[in-house]
Amino acid sequence: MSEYFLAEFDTAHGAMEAARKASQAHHAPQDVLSHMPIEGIDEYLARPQKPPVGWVMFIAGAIGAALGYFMQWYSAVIDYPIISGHRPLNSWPAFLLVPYETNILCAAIVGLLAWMWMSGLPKPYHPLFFANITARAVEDRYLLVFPRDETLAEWVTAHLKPRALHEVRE
Amino acid sequence: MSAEEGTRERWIEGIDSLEEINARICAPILSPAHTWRWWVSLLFSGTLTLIMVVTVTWLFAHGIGIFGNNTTIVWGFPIANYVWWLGIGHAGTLISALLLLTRQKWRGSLNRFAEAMTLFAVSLAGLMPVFHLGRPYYLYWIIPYPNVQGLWPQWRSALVWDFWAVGTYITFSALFWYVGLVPDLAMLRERAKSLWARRIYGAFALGWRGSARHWEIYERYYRYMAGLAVPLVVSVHSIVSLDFAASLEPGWADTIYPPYFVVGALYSGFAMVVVLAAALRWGCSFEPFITPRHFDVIARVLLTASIIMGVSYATEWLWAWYSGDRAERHLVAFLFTGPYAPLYYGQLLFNVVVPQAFWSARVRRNIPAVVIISILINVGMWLERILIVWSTLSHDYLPSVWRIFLPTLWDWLLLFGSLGAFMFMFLLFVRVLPAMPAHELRKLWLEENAS
Repeated sequence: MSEYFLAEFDTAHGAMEAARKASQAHHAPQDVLSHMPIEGIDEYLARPQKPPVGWVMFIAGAIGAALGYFMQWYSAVIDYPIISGHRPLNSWPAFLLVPYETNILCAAIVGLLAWMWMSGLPKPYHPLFFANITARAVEDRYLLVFPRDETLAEWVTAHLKPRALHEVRE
Repeated sequence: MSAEEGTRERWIEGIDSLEEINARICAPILSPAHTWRWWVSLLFSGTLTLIMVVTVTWLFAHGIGIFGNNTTIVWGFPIANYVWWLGIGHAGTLISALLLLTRQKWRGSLNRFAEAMTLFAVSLAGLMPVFHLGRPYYLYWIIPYPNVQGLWPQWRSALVWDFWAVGTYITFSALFWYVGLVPDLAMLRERAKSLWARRIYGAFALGWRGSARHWEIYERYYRYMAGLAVPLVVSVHSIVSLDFAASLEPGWADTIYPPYFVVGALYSGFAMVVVLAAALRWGCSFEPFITPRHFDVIARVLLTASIIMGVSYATEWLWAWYSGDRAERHLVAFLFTGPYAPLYYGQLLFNVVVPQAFWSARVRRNIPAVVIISILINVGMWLERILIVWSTLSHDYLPSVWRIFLPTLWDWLLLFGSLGAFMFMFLLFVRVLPAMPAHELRKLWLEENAS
């Protein structure tokens, strides 16, 4: 069972500074909840990550394009050849349009799945939903998430000077 | 902040707090005002939608003989409607993606509803060729699927390319739109009053908590999607133009067609965005988010597009003359002097001449004027689409088959019915989902008010 406490801040700048200080003092927050993206705050978290979404989408797109071309080639050359005026069966210029579309389609769909997988969504249940203040995190607040610990809470209050502290119990 | 920046106009006006942004954006969903306006509009558009349903039912029962198509002009209203609606469907994703990549701040007020516009317009566009098939129940033959006859689609056909382009475009646009909605759905989950509304918004919000990890991945994915969207949008109307350009007909077999179609698509799409923006501003009290400055910048885009359209038309005339081809030259003469000439002059007037009014800053900032010109542009673009179909088919190589298209009542009912269906879907959208991206506007407001 995980329990947390949340340090509330009024501004993105305040949250950013607090995360930086906490990180330098080896108390890096586990997460930050905010109503908008705070650029660069990720590096002050306990486990920073560089999600390889772009690579996943690139590979998926390449596979999608290859499959799109292969489908046409197999159909037109192997399975259902139509000989018309002795033109080549593998009409590659005309066959480039479908791979172009399947490339983008596969990259987009696999990217969506990667986004959900890497973000841990869908998440119908999470202990943070039990704190009323987390509702505000999607509206106008900035919350730093720390593991619940009395001494850490005292340190946060003394050094980071949050607007308020909130406990989360399940 | 310098004095000049302090007096600079803002993209969001008259907002005092983040909470006010959220409240205004959620108001049409959670505490709607002016509901009678909405109900009257819904009744009107619902009636037109019903007319479209009746038309399509009659069409399926009696075949495409109910339209004005004849043995010469085998493509009629449905194909023109298809190209027109698909063109309107182009602005949404392009506004959203291109303006994101170029970091244009006015994107925030427009992208959500423009993407919704895209989805509805492309859905209607996708139906039009199906209505035109004659045997719509064989639609699935265009899809590669394992069948006992061992048949495959003809990959060298522009019509099969259309299927892939439009199918990809609508799927992609729906994904892009939904991903952008997730943070706002989480906000609605917290603000909705009834338990079921909270559950439904909550389910679609996927458990979004605004975590830094969520945002990190979201921002990356959204930006890559925008990067993919731009070449996709350009490809879709280019492929549609190949339905015409890959033929051997006079006036169609031109290399200018793909860029000409893409610019025309953006042109009509931006014009439709103006109409919808004005409607939202009036109906949902979104004045702080959609300011005269937004209309100003869209009017500039429209002005640029109108000039490109004018150059494209002139290029067609020049090409016809310079090619020395008899059929091409006759076709241009037919456009200017034939029975469709009044429509052609209307097209030139609405698409090229009238938008020149946007050189004046006073016109660009006058919302009713921008809306009226935008409606005229949409009429002009529809005339262009129908004339592309009609004029070439009416007047191609063999004089003995020259005929004229006379629309029937059903042609008009399908066109206006589809407009009603579009309006109907849009009206439902504004009452169910946030028509403005709250998280982007909050960020923009904070940037503009940072001191």
